[in-house]
This record gives sequence, C-alpha cells and structure tokens, in this order.
Amino acid sequence: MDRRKVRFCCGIVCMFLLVTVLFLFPAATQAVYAQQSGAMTTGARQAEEPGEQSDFEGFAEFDTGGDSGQGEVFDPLSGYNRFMTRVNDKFYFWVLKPAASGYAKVTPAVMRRSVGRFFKNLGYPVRFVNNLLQLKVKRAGVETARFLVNTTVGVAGFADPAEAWMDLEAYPEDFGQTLGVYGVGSGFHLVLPLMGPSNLRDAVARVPDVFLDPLYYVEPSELAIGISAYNRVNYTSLHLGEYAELKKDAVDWYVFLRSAYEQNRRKKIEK
Amino acid sequence: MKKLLCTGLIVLVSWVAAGPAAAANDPETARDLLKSKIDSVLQVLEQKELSDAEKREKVESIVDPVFHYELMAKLSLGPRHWPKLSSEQQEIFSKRFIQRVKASYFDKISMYSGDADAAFTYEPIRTRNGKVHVPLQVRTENNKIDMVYKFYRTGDSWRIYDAEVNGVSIVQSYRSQFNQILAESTVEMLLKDLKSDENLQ
Repeated sequence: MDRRKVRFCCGIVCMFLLVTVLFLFPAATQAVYAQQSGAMTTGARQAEEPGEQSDFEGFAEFDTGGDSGQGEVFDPLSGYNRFMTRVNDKFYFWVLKPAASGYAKVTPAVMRRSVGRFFKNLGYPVRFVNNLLQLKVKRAGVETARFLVNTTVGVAGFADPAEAWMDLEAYPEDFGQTLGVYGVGSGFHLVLPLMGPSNLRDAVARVPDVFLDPLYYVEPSELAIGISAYNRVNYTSLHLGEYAELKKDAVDWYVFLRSAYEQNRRKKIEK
Repeated sequence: MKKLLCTGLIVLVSWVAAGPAAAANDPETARDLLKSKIDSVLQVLEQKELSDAEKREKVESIVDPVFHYELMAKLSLGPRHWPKLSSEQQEIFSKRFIQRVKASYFDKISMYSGDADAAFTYEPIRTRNGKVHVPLQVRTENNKIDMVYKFYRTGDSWRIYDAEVNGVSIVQSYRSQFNQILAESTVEMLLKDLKSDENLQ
C-alpha cells in the first residue's frame, strides 16, 4: 500500500512539473518559429518565378507549413528521435512481429479479435473521463452504455453487442486530445521507446491516463506489464503487414511517421 | 469467359454511367463519381482468376482518369521547391513520384481486398472553397479506416488532387518528407531517394 502511495505522489509531482513545462514551452518556441518562418519566406521569394506559381493557386491548404499544416516544423530532438525510430523499428521486426506471427499461427483470428475487444472495453475509464473533460456529455453517456452492455451481455467485454446490435460506437479520447481541445499546442515531436511517435503534449498526457487504466491497479506490477505486453502482441497480430506496407511507401521513414502522427492527432482533436 | 465478359460489361456500364454524372457541376456528382469508381475497382479485385499484374492494369484504367497525378506531384513538392527544379528534373520527379503513388495505391487497396466483408459507408460531402471532399469509412474485420477523397473542378470534370487515410494526407506527408530532404540535402539526392523503394524489408 505504501509503495503505491509513493508511486502516486511521484506521478503527481512529475505531472505538475511536466504540465508547467508544457505551458511555458510554447512561449519560448514562438521566437524560434518567428525567426525560422521569416527566413523561409525570404527564400521562397527569391525562388519565385512568375507563371510557375499558377498551378498552386487554390491549393494553399498545404502551404501553411509544418507536418500537420500548422506552423513550421520544430524538431529540436530530431537526432534522438531518428535514433529511437530505428530502435523501435528493430524492436518491431525482431521482437514484436515474430511474437505476433507465432501467436497468430496458434490462435484463431476470432479469438484474437475477441481479446482485442476485451482490452478495448478496459479503456472505458480513459474514454469516459476525457469525453467528460471535453464536455462531450452525450458521448460519455454512450461510452457508459457501451461499458455496461459489453461487460454484462458481452461477457466481460469479449464481445461487443453494443456496436453489433445497438449501433453504439466507441468515442476514443485521451488526455492528449483533451489538452489539444483546450488549445495546448503539441510542442516538439518526441519518439518514445517501444511506444513510437508522440509529442511533448501527448507524452505528458499519458501520465494521468495511466491512473485511469485498470491495469495500473494490477499487482504485482510484473503481471501488469505482462498483460499489457500480451495486449500489444494481440493487437499486432491483427495488423500484421501494415507497418511494412507503410514503411515501403516512405521516402524518409522518420519524417513520414512524424508527419503522419501529427496529422492524425490533429484530426482526432478536431473530432 | 462468360463471367469475364459479364464483369467487363458491368465495368463498362458503370464507366459510362460515371461519364454524364461527372459532367454536372453539382458537388454531389463528385461522390457519385467516386462511388462508381470504387465499385468498379472492387469488382476487379474480386476476380480471383486475374493475376496481380492484370488486376493492377484494370484498376489503373479505372482510376487513372480521375486522379490528377501530375498535380499531386507538384503539390507534394510545393510552390517553394518546385520552381527550383529544372524542367528536366521536374519531369524525372513527376515520373518517379507518380510511379510510387500508383504502386502504393494498388498495394493498399489489394491489402484490404482479401476482406470480402469490407463495408463502405459514404458520409456527407464537404465543400471547401470550390473543392469537394468526400469522406467515407471503410470497415474491415480488423480495421476502421476513415478516408477522404479530395476533388477539384477542372474543365467539366472532377479530379482527385489528394486523399486522406485516417487524417493523414498523401500530399501533406510527401511534402513534409520532401521539405526535410531538401533542407538537408540536394535535389539530386531527392530524385535518387525517390527511385529506390524496393530495398526495404
């Protein structure tokens, strides 16, 4: 019990520190952005040739710069990020993918999908609280109805009768999206070990979400880690081939992932 | 043979049906066009007797007239970098970019075509300064994919200038990559990078 209290306090302190950084950070970067974009526009003006530009008229939606079309790219950790992308890549091809393909060979897809639904059902507290924090009350209600139906009729969430029979779909939200909705910028891009692409805001926002994850309360923590590793392998087994397929298309894999992550998060925040 | 003829006929009919629909200026016709194209593509993919190469050829003959690949190439490089390329470089760039996009598009759709239960839900269209965005959701057994096809009007037809998959725009993603490469390296390197795509795992 004591151990848990200590962990809890540490979590709160970390959160406080990180949130402070998060709010101070945009102010500090503003100046850098301004300088950079200033330099960029001069460059663009030099390169401009009349006549060549006409085809781009009306397609300014891509010209706002940045990975998700917002501002210039600010990537102070690009060296570390590229390194971690390579590490995660090796982790995927050497560990995760073989484990998931082996597991897929001995486990029918129906069962794996069922397990996937079980873990999705466990994500209810995160989705519920963040929907509420974003004042999406109706969606929070739908989430609750889903949880009640799927936990009982759906046998602990292994089935999803709420979606199959009642057309109630989940509304995925996390604390990163909640912060985004309230105008917190994404900060710089940050590739997390094993977890993959993230950014300052979303990485910090993982902390409060952890407290809403039922797995956090599983003791001993080795068991909790084991369960979440199993969840990851199960998920990967249902999406084999997608990673390689994306990678094949990328000219610069790290930049592609960074851009795709930021674009995807921006869309999710808008929803 | 009979089946082939039959599907050929269906493809032809949907093709012809798409023609007059596209001629109208109503934004809704962009969705009708997309729908007829996707239906024809699905019909091709379902034909098990065709080899991948044959399928690809047929799919391309269906979608090529509606994708404006040259514009996508230009937009991906962007107004900042495009004029810096010599016309010869622009030509090489476009050629390699288009090859890449076409191959990638075909790979993506054939990856999901094994799923006969894939369901397509068309959502209400959005118009944004003369462009028409057609969102749709594709559900397969393991995935829910949100797609947006973006059309613009040229002459008397709708053409696609970009597509989004789960919020990730093709043009935007390529532009991020090209911006990065050109910030650190040269046009020659970019052209070289664009070419090598078969050396990955």
